[in-house]
Amino acid sequence: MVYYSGGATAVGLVYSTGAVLAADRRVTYGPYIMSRAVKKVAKITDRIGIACAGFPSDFQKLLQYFKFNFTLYEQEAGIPLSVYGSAKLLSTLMYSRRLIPFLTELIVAGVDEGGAPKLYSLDAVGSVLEDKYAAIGTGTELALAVLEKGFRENMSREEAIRLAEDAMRVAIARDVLSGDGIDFLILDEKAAEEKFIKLR
Amino acid sequence: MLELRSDKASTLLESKTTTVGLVYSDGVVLASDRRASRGMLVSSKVARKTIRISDDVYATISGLVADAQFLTQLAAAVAGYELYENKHRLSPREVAVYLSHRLFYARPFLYITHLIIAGFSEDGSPQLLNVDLLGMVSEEKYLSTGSGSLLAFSILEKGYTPELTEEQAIKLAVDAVKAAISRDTGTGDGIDVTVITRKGIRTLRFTVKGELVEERES
Repeated sequence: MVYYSGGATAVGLVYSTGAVLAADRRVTYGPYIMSRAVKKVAKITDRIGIACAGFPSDFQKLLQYFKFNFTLYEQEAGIPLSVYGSAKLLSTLMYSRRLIPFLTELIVAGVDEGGAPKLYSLDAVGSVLEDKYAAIGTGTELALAVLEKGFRENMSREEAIRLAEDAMRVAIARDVLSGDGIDFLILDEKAAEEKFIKLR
Repeated sequence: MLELRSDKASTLLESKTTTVGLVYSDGVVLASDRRASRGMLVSSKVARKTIRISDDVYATISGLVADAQFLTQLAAAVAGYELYENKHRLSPREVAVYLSHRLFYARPFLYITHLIIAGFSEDGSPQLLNVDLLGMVSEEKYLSTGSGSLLAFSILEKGYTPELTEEQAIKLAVDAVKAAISRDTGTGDGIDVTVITRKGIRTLRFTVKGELVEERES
């Protein structure tokens, strides 16, 4: 029996006061488009968001586990969990399944209270790398080419959203496994904003 | 038969890496490049491969990033616990032997990683230890791990003497990683140097050409 992957592309970048996450909505079984409506960015709180690429079953289940543990931590400790804390919690959940991994990659981004925006990318077994911008999924190379050229430190919110959109549009144009729409999650110190662009 | 296929999503993050460690007259120098790769894609240009285990013990990592991060952060937690609970500072050898147990008894599911552990031994002399994926521990005067280690070794073999000064040791370590950067595609994007001395920790960052861009002391 063969399980095909859900191909996908997701990007993330930090700007002067926050972070932008974006992901497509397509799910494929091999060359066949199974769904055009799967959301791959998740708002955890007003400060923290996650973008996923990989098997939808796996990242959806992983997010359920994560949300449970995130809430449990905040309730028990009585303090908010930082962006790095969230990435590390996800890493622990993923590494605990080292031999039968969650087949998904993640970008975790957000802003800690009074802190600088942070972005971390995680592979399927939970390595955590901090960066200023990242792309994951089957369109990684395409999206990264745009981010690599367009990224600057301390961009404005509008510039950051435009760059994320450009990167996603290039990936969608040339990667058959990505497409159908772009979900955005824009996080800054004040509030998270969600946005969707339909592409079909 | 069950087959899991996930195209590029299954390619895991590796640090093909070149890391270097060497003992000089009164300390240890660790150097590592900053590239993390996923197959032939450079997936990070700012990856940190020198990791703090305790105030005076540091490690360099190579191999599967998740495994290496897991093991070094576990060692850091154990070192922190020992200090808190028993007021005992773990020596580099104790850290290395602890990790070697974890690695050996993980068989047949190996942690895909090769570590260098550095610091000061109980008798106060600088110490450099090699921990491989099967659980071997060996003490060395100079060492290199990762895909570019052969290139780095060629520079170390030629330039290493136990009488090096701190600045000479830093230069040799940087030159060794530079040699690897020039011919190994898994290595690149800058050089992190950590110097462990009796006075404290000195961290430096160099460009791929060996120019100093950042220096910090703690």
